[in-house]
Amino acid sequence: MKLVCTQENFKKAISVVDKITSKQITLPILKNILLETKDGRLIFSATNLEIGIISKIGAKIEQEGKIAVPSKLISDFIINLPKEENIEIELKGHILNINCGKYKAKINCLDSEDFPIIPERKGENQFTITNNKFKDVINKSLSSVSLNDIRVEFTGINLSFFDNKIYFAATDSFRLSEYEVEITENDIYKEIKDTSVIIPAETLRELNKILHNATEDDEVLVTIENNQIFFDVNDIKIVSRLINGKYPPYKQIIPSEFKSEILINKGELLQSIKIASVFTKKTDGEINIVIENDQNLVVKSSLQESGENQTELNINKKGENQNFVLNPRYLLDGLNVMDSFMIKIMVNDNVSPIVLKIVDEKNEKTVDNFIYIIMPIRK
Amino acid sequence: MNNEDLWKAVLGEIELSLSRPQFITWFKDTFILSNENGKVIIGVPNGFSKEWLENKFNTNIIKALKNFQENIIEVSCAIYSPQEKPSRNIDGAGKNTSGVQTINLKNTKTLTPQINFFQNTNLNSRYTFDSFVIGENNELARAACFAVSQNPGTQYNPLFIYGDVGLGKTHLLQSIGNEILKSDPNKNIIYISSEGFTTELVNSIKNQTIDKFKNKYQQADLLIIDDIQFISGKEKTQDIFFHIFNSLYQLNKQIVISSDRPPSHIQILEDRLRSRFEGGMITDIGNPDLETRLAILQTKLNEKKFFLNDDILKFIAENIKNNIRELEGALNKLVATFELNKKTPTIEETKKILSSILVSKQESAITKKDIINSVLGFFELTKEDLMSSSRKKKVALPRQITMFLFKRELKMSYPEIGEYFKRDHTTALHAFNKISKDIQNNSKTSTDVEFIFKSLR
Repeated sequence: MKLVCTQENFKKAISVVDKITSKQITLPILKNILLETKDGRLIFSATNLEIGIISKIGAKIEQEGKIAVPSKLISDFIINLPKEENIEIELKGHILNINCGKYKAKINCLDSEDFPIIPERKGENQFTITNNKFKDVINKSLSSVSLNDIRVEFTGINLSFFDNKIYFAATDSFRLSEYEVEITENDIYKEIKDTSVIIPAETLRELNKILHNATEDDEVLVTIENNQIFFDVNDIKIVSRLINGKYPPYKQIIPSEFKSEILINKGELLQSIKIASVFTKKTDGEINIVIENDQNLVVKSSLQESGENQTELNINKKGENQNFVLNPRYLLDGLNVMDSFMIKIMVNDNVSPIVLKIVDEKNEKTVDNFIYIIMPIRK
Repeated sequence: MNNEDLWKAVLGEIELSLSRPQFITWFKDTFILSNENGKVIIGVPNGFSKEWLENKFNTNIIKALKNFQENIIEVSCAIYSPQEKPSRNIDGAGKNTSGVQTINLKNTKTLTPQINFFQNTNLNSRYTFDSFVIGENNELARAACFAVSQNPGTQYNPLFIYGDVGLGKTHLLQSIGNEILKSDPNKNIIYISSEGFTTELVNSIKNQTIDKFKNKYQQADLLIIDDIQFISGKEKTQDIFFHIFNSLYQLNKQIVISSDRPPSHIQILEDRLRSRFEGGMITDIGNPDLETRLAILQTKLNEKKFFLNDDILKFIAENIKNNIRELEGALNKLVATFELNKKTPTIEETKKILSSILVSKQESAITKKDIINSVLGFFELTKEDLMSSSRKKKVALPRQITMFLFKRELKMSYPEIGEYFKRDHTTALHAFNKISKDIQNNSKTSTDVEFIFKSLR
């Protein structure tokens, strides 16, 4: 193998794949990345056997070849090289020679034969979604995913395909978020219509990092086959296992009618909840929200040993007065991902799920494609 | 050779040529999905294994397969979907999705509310008060359990039920849970054996999720712990259980506990737990009398929609005395045999069919050694102590109990007993009279004697 490429390209590609190289020591080959030349391109592959990432860059190939290189070593070296220089790479036996102007290195490598083969999709893409939208979905959903793996289904985001919509749902059984995305229906999409899959949160975190480096209008091709999911973004491919399991039928718990609707300034509410949570226990904190007229909402919290706090906020309420108790952490998680000036809180009573929605500033109507639900604490 | 054995043999061969981590990584959770006309399809858990086995290991696998089955032509892999694995049934017949899934919105009083998607109580809906046969032996226990199910947390808390194996403790315990669920399906009910409790605790310590573990139990509206005696000697479990017990007790949540012996007889149990167990209602389930056993058999027969004549029922009831589970087992065996032969059973046939059960049930003769060992074990003494001439109460009482049991169970004569202990026959006579009197007066000695006697069988 012999080739020349720019430091910038190399760095970009290696930083994409480097992160998932496995920390597990049972199979040492997984701590390596596979470098491979093909069709005038240099291909980087890495996997931890749950996720696999392949990244391609342009390079001037003088001699074909492939080799497994210790990931941390080569990325630490390449990242510190000067930006403007070209990198010359030549493989001699199992030693990779890297020359970059004044800097030279020799890296001991492993046989590429032992490197796992990363599965590639056979079929065509089943749907596409714009980078911008996908990022938004992931950002809004991830915080609701359970960190506890007692219920494996909850450690991922559930995608259900109905009509020409995809519903992304995430829950840890204390709160739930659902994001609805419309897609253009095509023939291939029909194959997965009316089904659902659960994508591990870890995969989406990796994907999110990659999406952040892509341009906003780039399209992500998503393919689901053989219990695996494939994402293609520009020159990067990700493949991941899906979570085995059945997502609970969460739709039933979303109330369809509400006794009260409260329009409130999100920033003010966020701030008052942050302040109120100072006066609560760190875990299992409780804040009390009281609405006794159509214009005001009071956020209260108290802690026997510390003291208490109270904030009054202006609101616009329709319907009955309400008085309920929430865990501030779950409310904050929800408010933090809602990127609007105003939001709407919809309540039935102090024991039924409470629904949060984003409000469009221009026409003051709720945006219905994202909802965030919290269970109140029964008092 | 079936597919499972074939694959085991192949794996055995492949394992030799690979490093352990490699073997585990690529061959874990694989199995033969189908094997037809020399074409073998291997089920693999993920895409990585599929690629690897198909591209790098194909020839090795074919070679290994050919050693056992000559007509192998090709090997391919398929990723199995999760539903297929548990039953290993690929005809589609085994595609059961794990039970009915209901959603329950759930919020507990003080702790973080939880959306409860599944009711997971471990309760068996078969056990209800309706299907419980009441007899003299269990009347009180049943009444206590029923009262608890009507007013959980207020009437008898904690409720402690003890009795020998197979007398219906679990049935009563689960009935409480089912009854409460019936009136309020949103109640958070946890039913677990103390063994399961310990295992879960150990896991949570390992995974450092001990807070989650405590939380789970502290959120219960009703906590039922079966066979608590296994907690004996497990200090950490007792410790954690103590705290859970206290916090539930303070919140007026019902706690129900069962054991095969009263709290005072559970060895190596912390005093603070013992006293708490004794603080509520303690009730026992005794051995059922003949009429109760007959009634139980009738109920079970009705459930099975099968008919047996009274003589046969009486025969079973008379011969199996101590364990309802065995009673049911005998009945099952009988019913199964006759359903197979499609004819009405006679008493002679019944005797023949049940002979194996009855033989193993025949009480093996108790020996002097058995009695001595039980006594020694119970009082934690050595044989030297027992045979010594010491007249300290610590030794004298066990010695008297031994003599008493020699007389009562082995029908030994007083001189014989005296000789055995190198004492006068009047000593033996005195011992027998003293213990008999104690038993009549229902002192602590009486429960001790009964306990030792039970451990003999």
